[in-house]
Amino acid sequence: MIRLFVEKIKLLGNNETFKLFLTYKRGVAGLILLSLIVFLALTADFITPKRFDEIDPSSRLLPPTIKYIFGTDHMGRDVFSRVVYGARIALWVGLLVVLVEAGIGVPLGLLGGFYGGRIDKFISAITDLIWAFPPIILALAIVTILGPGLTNVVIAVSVISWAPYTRVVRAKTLSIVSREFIIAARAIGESSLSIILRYILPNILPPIIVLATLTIPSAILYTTALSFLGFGAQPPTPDWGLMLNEGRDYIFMAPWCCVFPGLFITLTALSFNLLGDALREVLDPKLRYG
Amino acid sequence: MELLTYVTKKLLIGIPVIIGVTIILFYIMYILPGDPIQLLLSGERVTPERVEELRRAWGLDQPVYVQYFYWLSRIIRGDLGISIVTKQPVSLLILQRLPYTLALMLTSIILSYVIGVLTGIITALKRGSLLDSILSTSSIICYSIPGFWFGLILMLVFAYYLRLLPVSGYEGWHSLILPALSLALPSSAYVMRLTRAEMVEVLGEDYIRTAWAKGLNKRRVLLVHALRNAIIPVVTMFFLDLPWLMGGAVVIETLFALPGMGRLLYVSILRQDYHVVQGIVLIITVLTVVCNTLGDVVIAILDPRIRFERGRGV
Repeated sequence: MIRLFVEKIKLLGNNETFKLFLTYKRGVAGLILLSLIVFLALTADFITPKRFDEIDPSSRLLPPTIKYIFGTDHMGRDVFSRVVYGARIALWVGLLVVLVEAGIGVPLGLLGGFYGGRIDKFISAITDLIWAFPPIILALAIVTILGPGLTNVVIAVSVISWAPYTRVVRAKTLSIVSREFIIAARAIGESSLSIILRYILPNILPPIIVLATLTIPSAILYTTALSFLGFGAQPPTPDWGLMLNEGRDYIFMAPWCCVFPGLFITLTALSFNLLGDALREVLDPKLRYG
Repeated sequence: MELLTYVTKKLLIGIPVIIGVTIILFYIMYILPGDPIQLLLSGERVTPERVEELRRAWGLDQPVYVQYFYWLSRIIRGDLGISIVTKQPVSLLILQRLPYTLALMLTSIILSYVIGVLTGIITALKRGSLLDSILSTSSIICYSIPGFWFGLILMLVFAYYLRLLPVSGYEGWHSLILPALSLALPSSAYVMRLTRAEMVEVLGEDYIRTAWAKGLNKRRVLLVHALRNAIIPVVTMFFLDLPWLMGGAVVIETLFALPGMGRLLYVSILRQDYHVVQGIVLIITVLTVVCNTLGDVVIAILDPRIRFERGRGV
């Protein structure tokens, strides 16, 4: 079972596919940019001059200098160190949201597409219902109930945005279900579960990977927006959205407190968008997302 | 006639979705901690008998589903409840702020669609040129930028350094320029990408080649034959965009301290003024369903093929 997936992924990563990917300059640029951000996140403990929560009242709101390359914030904390640690949070949050979304959306799409009939109608109705809520508004409603906090924001954002997975997976499953190899598998008496897991899922993996890459940036943008409003990460977490929330009061005195966290949100979202666009061209040229 | 059937079908599909939405919203309020009667009395000292009486008067002694129908019938009559904080009717609070939000959304929609469609057409016609690659790359950058950060930067540059526009609050129509720009930026980038992709596809179609071959002039081919077909998905997107912009408006109105519905939602969440939150979420969600349905209807009018295909399929 796992072996099958590994083989499928190897197939995706074979030379031909990779060579094709390399012809997309923007995709390569996205990959390099993303690698740099991941590098910063992984080595944060070594490359940051200070801890992200180290307060220094004697050096408040200092402009960027050699000592503090991104300046300091209203509590005298080093903005560079906070931004670098923030990369960890942003990447984690993006990954978590995508995992939860796919965890909800993919099984529902598989069930709907495979069984059809009433199950499909029921799942489609729920998907339409969730689709009907405007994203940030529903996330706000959920955070109102759950209370503020990064975990709750991750839950809220995942709950509002799994519907695209269900739609894409359902459509792809429908297009595969009537193919010969599935009929053959049924004929030799494979169980439904085994057909879904061994034959359908590996074949619809490419669009799921593309969709995941393209939903990470919106997950990061939503969660930072909620943190910016004060409903997400709480101090002293070096979350980029929260840094913008705190820096907002000092925007005219110390613009660097806002400029750098926002720049890194943009760069991170950009790297995933560039990568996702190229992956879509390479893995699944015909795919369109509504 | 065929169109009428299609439209009716679409409208009928919208109704269960709206009912589902009201059930979810009612249930969310129902499971929220806190006794609504205590909230209503806000600390007033009354006898237990009086509390019981109020509970009966508000129908709170009834089973959940009966309470839901009470609530629904009030909603349909336009009664969204009373704000716990200001003691004003929620519908009044919302109506007072609606014009600012509508003005903001209208401005940013016009901005994003004018910019998006124009650059989309230009890049599609000049495909592969330097201009195309510059504009296409900047569009990806544009929708990677968080709107609220872009708003902060605009505020810093135009309101603080250049002193051209007000920093925040509402002092007339020029207060809407910076918020509308921050809201329009990501959306215009999406519109541009979509317009470009559709134009490129349509320009490769046989009927466009036929139009060229017939010797039609350039303007006629591009505007009448190509754009008319390429614009259809862009129109769908317009309707899907409206509710999405509403979400963005919460963040942007809060940032620029505009007295709109989005800011009201933000403030009400902070004050735990649940009836206002519920009222706003309800209105926006119903609007979303209406927009989606309208989108389907407009598409069916613009593109007869859709009516036909779907009419057969479903």
